[in-house]
Amino acid sequence: MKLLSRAEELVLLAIWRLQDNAYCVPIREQVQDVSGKEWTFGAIYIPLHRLEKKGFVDSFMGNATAERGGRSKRYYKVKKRGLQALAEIKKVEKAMWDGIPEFSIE
Amino acid sequence: MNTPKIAGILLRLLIQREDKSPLSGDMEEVYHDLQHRNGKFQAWIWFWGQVLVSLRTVIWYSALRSISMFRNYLKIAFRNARKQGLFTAINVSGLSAGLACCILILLWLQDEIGYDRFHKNFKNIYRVIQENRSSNESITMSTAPFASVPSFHEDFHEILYSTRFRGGFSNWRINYGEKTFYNDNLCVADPEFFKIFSFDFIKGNGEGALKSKNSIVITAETAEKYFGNDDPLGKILLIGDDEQPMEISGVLENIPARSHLQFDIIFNIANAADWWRADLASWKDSRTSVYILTDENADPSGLDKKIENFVKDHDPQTYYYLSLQPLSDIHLRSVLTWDFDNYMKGNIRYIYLFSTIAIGVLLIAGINFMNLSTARSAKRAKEVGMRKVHGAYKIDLVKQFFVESSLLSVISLILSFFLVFTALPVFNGLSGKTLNFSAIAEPGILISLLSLMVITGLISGIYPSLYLSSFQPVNVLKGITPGNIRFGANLRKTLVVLQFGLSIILIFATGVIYSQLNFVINKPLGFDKKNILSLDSIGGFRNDPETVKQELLNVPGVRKVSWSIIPNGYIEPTTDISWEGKDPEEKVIMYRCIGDYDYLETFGLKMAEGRFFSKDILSERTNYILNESAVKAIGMKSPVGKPFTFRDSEGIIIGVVKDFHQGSLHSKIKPILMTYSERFFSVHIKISRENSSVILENIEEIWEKFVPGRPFKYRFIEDIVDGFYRSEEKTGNIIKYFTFLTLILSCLGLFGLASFSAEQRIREVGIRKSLGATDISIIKLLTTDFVKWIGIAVIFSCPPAVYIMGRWLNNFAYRTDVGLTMIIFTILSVLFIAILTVSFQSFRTARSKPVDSLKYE
Repeated sequence: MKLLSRAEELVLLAIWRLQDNAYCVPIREQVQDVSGKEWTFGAIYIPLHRLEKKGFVDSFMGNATAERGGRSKRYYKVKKRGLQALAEIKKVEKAMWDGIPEFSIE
Repeated sequence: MNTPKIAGILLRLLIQREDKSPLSGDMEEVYHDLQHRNGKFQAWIWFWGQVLVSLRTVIWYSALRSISMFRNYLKIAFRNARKQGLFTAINVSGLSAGLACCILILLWLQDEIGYDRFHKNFKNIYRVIQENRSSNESITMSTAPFASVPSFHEDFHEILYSTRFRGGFSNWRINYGEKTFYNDNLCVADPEFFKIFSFDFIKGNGEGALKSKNSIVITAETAEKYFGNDDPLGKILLIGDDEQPMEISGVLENIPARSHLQFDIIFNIANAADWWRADLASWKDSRTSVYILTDENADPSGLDKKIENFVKDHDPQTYYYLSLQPLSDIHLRSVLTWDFDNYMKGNIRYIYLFSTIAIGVLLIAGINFMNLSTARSAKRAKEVGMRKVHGAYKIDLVKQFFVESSLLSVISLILSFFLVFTALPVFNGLSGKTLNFSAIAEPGILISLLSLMVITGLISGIYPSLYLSSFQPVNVLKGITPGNIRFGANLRKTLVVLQFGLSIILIFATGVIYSQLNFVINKPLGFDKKNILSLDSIGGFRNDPETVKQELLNVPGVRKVSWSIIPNGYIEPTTDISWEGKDPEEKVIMYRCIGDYDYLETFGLKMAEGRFFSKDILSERTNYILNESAVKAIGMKSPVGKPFTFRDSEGIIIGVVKDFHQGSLHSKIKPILMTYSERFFSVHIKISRENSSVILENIEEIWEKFVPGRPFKYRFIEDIVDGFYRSEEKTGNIIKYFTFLTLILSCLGLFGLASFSAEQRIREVGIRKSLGATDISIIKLLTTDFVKWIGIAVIFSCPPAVYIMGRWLNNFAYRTDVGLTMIIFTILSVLFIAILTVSFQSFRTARSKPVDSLKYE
């Protein structure tokens, strides 16, 4: 089983969701929207970097734009291993939640 | 609309990964987005916030690591220092002695260089000096003709103000109300004096001071002496025996110690015209210094030329040439034959000399530090190997050894402060200065001290740390000594040669200085300097010279009494002389000695031919006596009886006195013209050697009788003559200490090197001993090598030592030779000390048991 931390999971999901537009800024926005709290760039870079090192995502350099001060973007793309990991997590989660009695936090 | 600049730079520094560009690009994009939505300020806050948060993290982690490592380094350093106590003590004491020596010299330099700098117009003040050229010699003097002021000022628009100055009037009686004081350090100056020099006024001001002939200015110290806490302004002092009333028009702050002009009371120059009976508008009479203040844009060399021509135009007959000397040169670079009113005059050559010594001593101490640190390296090799095995990088080890050497150099610096503090009174005594420890806190000194420490720490730390950190762990842990020792050994030996070379030069210098001093003190001078008392003649003493003389002669023990000028002080040069057969174009300078008929016997002079002045002959006023040098200077054959004219008095030469050294042995014997006079400013008394205190008491009684109330002040001629060599004596004393220090430091270095080499060869010694070598042969083996190196030091240092000291001796017209015995003595003493140092260590090694050194094999 391919283990992912929660942050890695969120980032990986965000990349998959963004598809062709997955570079750091929208990834961070995505993660913030989902989790509903402020994330620093550092908190995104580190799981991103780790995902890349573990071979779940691939990255390539994109074009530079003026609003970035002439600096290029680094795009990320989920690899096959990454998708497998996501599927596996989902399966485990589902199995975990199955048969749990209904509860309410209110 | 760019991101904050500084934050951006910080950010790029903080990102340690290779993809800096996309990362900072991301930040910038969000920044712009925020700017559009929430405005510039919020965006700015956000950006800075992000950067600072990461900054905190980065700093925290790197600091945590380096602090904990630093603590470990310190701990190890302390442990090592304790473990090898002797080495540490040698190391620290050597370096701190070297540093202390440097600090002392630095303080001294700072003091010497800082003379006269408190004047606001420091850069634009000049002293007019003159040179008198003649066919036989050239004399330079710090004085200029009276008429220079105000002529120069009126003729040259570059000169803003000019003043005359003459100090040194001493032992004057001054009355204030009922009280009588005797004051030294009186001087005269023009009112413009205060426009040129920045002596600060406490009361009154530079405008009103000295305006009239009867107004004077005094210093705060003098004011307190006369008036206590009363306001001195407007008070009247009665000056001198004729009680001239003078009104105080200003009070100055005490004169700074570092001023070449020193005085207590300053009078208007107009008074000097009366005191000297001189014409202040004369171009021939120059008894005062002349200072000028030039315009900021003036060209001093152009002005120099103009002044020279000006005087020539004024008086085509002139025999003197005027030039300008900048105020900044007066203390250190003034090399005049007669330099008046130059308090505590220094010499730039001593500045160079002592700076060189300071650098040399520090160099030696630094070399020792290096040598001893590397010498210990063999013991540290295993530690280095262990650290490397545990993952230390080379840079970590370099850091570690740097921490060690810096620790030692910081300790040394603290110790050296302590040393300086205790040695300062001794140094002050030697150098005649009043240096203060608190001067260390001056920013200039402090900065140079800190940089000195950092440089010493760096240089002496860099070699050991690079050397030690380069050990290969595999080898050192196996017990193989590092392979690059050969290069290191040669370097260290070269350094020891350098150290000993320096020590040899210094020992030799001390020897030569002392033998020359011995020579000048003991050389027969052609007159008897012993037991001659010199008294200034004032008051009743002056009015009745013949009675005074008789009374003095009645004192038992008084042999001879003569009214004359002090021949060993300033004697007036003159070119206003002529003789039979003189070429009218020729200018010859002679120095005029004035005295009565007892002069010859009082000073123990000898006649070469003719006779001396006689009591029984009445016309002595126009009779002249020359010395042998004077006869030679005018090239006269059988001079006795020949006509001779001085100023306007024609007369004849009645005798020739044998040459005698009236001045210092720095210069050749001067041509002297002796003229007769019964009354003069000093009386000289030749007394017998025994019971001199009783004789002095009797003379004092006579003094009291004729000059009641005046303090009895006398000088011995011998003291004046010996005083000519005070600066050499001072130098000799200081150099003596430095020589001692250098020698000790060099021996410490040699000791360190000997221990190092003994450690290296401990197994060789073990094998030799087990094969039957005797202790003596082992000691010889270990010592010969060093003797060889000291020998090389001797060969390299002797020629420069002989050359340098030969040049020093050339300062004297009469000098000893750099004898072979001196050289041999120097070499032998150095060799002896060196062998003693080395054989101590060799002896220990030779006595060690071979079992201990060989048990690893």
